Amino acid sequence: MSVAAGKAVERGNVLSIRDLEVDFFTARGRAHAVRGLNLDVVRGEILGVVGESGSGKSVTALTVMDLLPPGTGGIISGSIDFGGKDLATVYSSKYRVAGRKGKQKLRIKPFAARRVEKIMGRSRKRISMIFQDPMASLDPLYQVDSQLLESIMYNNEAFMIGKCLEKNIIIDSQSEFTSVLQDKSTADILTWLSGRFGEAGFHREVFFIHNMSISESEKKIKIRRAIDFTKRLSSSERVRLKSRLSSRTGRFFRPNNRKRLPINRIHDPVVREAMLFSLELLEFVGMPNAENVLTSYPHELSGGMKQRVMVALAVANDPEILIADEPTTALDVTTQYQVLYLLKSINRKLGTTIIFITHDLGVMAAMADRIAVMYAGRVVEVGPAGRFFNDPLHPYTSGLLRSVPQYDERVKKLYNIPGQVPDLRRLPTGCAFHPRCDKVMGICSEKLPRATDFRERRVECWLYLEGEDDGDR
Amino acid sequence: MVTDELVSLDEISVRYDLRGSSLSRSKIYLNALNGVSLNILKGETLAVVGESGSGKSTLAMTVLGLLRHWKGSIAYHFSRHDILNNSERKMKRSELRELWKRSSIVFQDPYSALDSKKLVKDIIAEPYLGHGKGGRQESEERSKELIRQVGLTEDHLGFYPDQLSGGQRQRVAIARTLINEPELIIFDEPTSSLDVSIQAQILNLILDIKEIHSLTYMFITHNLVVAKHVSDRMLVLYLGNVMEIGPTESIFSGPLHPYTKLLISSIPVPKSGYEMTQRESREADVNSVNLPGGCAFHPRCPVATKYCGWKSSEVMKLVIREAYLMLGLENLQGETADELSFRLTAPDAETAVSVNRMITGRDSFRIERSEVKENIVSCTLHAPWTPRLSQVGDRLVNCVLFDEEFKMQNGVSPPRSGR
Repeated sequence: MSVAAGKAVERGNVLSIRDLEVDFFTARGRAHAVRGLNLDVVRGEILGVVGESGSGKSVTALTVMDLLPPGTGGIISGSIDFGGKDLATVYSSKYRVAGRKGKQKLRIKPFAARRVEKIMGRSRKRISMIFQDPMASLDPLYQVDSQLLESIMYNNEAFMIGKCLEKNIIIDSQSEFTSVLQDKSTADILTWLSGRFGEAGFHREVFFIHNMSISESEKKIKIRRAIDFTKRLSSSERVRLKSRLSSRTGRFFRPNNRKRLPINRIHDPVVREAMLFSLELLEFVGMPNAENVLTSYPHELSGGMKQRVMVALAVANDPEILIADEPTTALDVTTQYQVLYLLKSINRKLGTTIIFITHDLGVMAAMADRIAVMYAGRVVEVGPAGRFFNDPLHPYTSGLLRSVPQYDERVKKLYNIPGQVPDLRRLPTGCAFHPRCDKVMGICSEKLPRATDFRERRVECWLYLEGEDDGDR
Repeated sequence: MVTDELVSLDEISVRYDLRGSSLSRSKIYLNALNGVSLNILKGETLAVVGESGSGKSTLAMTVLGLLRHWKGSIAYHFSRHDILNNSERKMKRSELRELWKRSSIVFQDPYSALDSKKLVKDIIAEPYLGHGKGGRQESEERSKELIRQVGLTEDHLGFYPDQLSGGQRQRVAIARTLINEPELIIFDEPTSSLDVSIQAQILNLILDIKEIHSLTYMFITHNLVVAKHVSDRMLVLYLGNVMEIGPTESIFSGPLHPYTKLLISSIPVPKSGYEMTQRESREADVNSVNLPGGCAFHPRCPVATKYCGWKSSEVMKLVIREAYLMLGLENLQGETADELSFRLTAPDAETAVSVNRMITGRDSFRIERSEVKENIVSCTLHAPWTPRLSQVGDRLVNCVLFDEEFKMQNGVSPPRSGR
């Protein structure tokens, strides 16, 4: 495992999951939702996760976000490495497994959530998620701007400094950035910023800028003003801001339904900046008529617009990883196209890593750079997207590909994988897919195949392990 | 395939009353269907596709005679009875019973479609007993036969729905529709809540059942690839209007209506090397409550012409924005005179001339004619043309580009202004 971990750092993995096991404790027994999952997410890629319902793809996403319903399920073992921090140990410190064998339960430890919040700190905010149903994930009682503001203010410090610099410095590309650097005090600020977020991160911080057609001297004046502003902020205003926003629950900003006030009449400069930023966010996600949308309630928006608001919310804190759990299943095909295009451009322009969960193979082809196929809580095949469609290795992958109706050719009868996804409480022995597999062998029902690298991919199937049946016993 | 009509719909219009309470004075209606005419042929599968809110499900409800307030008439030509359902006259109870015996529906969500307090055998037998076709003995025999046909075993008859998976429930729902030997089955998104591999199983089953029982299908879906797989003919709906109808193969190989083109080009293809291209996002605030004049699709249409039903307020906004972007004019005042004309007030006569030059130089403003007087530019739009379904090859298309009547009146088809 240590070798694999060393390799992971080399490739620039932003998230690596090792031997993750997640169980749910139900009245009818213990369900193994995720069983020994190994998955690496490379920085800057779109990783597609495919699988049927019950394959554990959503559970994995929820585990990474620490959103598993409390008391029903939790991490049993394994590690989730994110930025040098093991999320799995932090999350699983909230509860312990208790009770007799067969009737086990999760006991939540007191004050657990607050402790996790404390340990996680900022890194928690570097992962955000988009859910399937936009209506269910927006609060119907609050206007869109309150919800955006909540998300922005939660991350206040970095946002404020980045934001104020952004507002006053007009930098669009790396070359302009270097020409501006001659001013020494600016250089300090910028080095500090890039030290904090990395060069790419800095670039991201100043992404939302429109006005580029001003002279060099004008830029310098604006930079000077920006620095002054930041300095002023770091003394009195910052203290005021912190005392006003902090609360013990970790919810810094409570959304409220303001009167529909024009942005330039908002008294508080911080809220005004945040409002302007939310407007920019909405424009960035291609929202037509963004100003009106800002003061609408979620029910006043169409499905596609709601999903755009969700995307705006998710990118508000400039996350490193964006997990999209079937974000377009509830949308029409034309709207789906636009939301997919938006997510792809976020990945390409901002460099945000996206984990894209879907069961639609067409959507997968449009989005993913790499594809991981999940079945019964394990990744059975993972590799580049191109190879996946032309040359599927695992019998389950090829079964999935053959069971979707083809767009350009008409087949009389669709292939169907016999049977159905197994009950997670009573999984078949050996490879969980063997009762449905058309290439089943004797060994399949006896032993779980180990992962092997084969034609650029990592696959878990006895077909590619011939002659090694009892090699590692 | 016999090419007789099984159901023919004539000018079906449905509108829902949206008044919040009986006290509110304003009348708001949702126009779910606007004069839809079509035939469902015996033995075919007609796919109905469209976005949500296009009236697909309302169409299904109307065909099944489940709506109370609607306009138009539907003629059913079942093998033993002909039934006419006209909105002018209430159907007799016996006619309704006959209609409901001969037609049936499979819903999208198999979890809410089956009564969770009944055994599977009772669920399947209920329509049979309800229509008084026979006793318990017969119904049980038929249930046993049908449950095997849909790929389950007799043991499943003793189960409750919550003991079954989604795919199995959908099989039970299909078995239930078959028990009265219907001639027409309507599928309302039968596979959209199912997994890929289960969807393949159910689609295969649906096609097999059709062969065995020689049925006619109306298949509602928003998944165009599924529609292509199952159907012989396809109907494209948009905001309650038929946009295009014709053989599925030819619609997919060469869509004519701009909306059909948009739909088909939006399908992500599960092949490697599929790339998306940037598309102008044109989300218009259009819905069935405030239907646009002319063609319903024109605010979103990429090739809309000046005949398609533009309103002066829309075009005025566009011109002012373009004048800002192209000429840098910030203080251009606009004022609408009526639905079809508006005036722009420029700061001086010179700018007015340049604005006018910009307008006449481009077709995409959809302005019929414009005049300059001093510093005022007055523009007039073309009266909206409401297209009618016209025959193009083997299809019917509802677009001004293919409208024969428009061609006769104006001599030529309108020029296609691609934007």
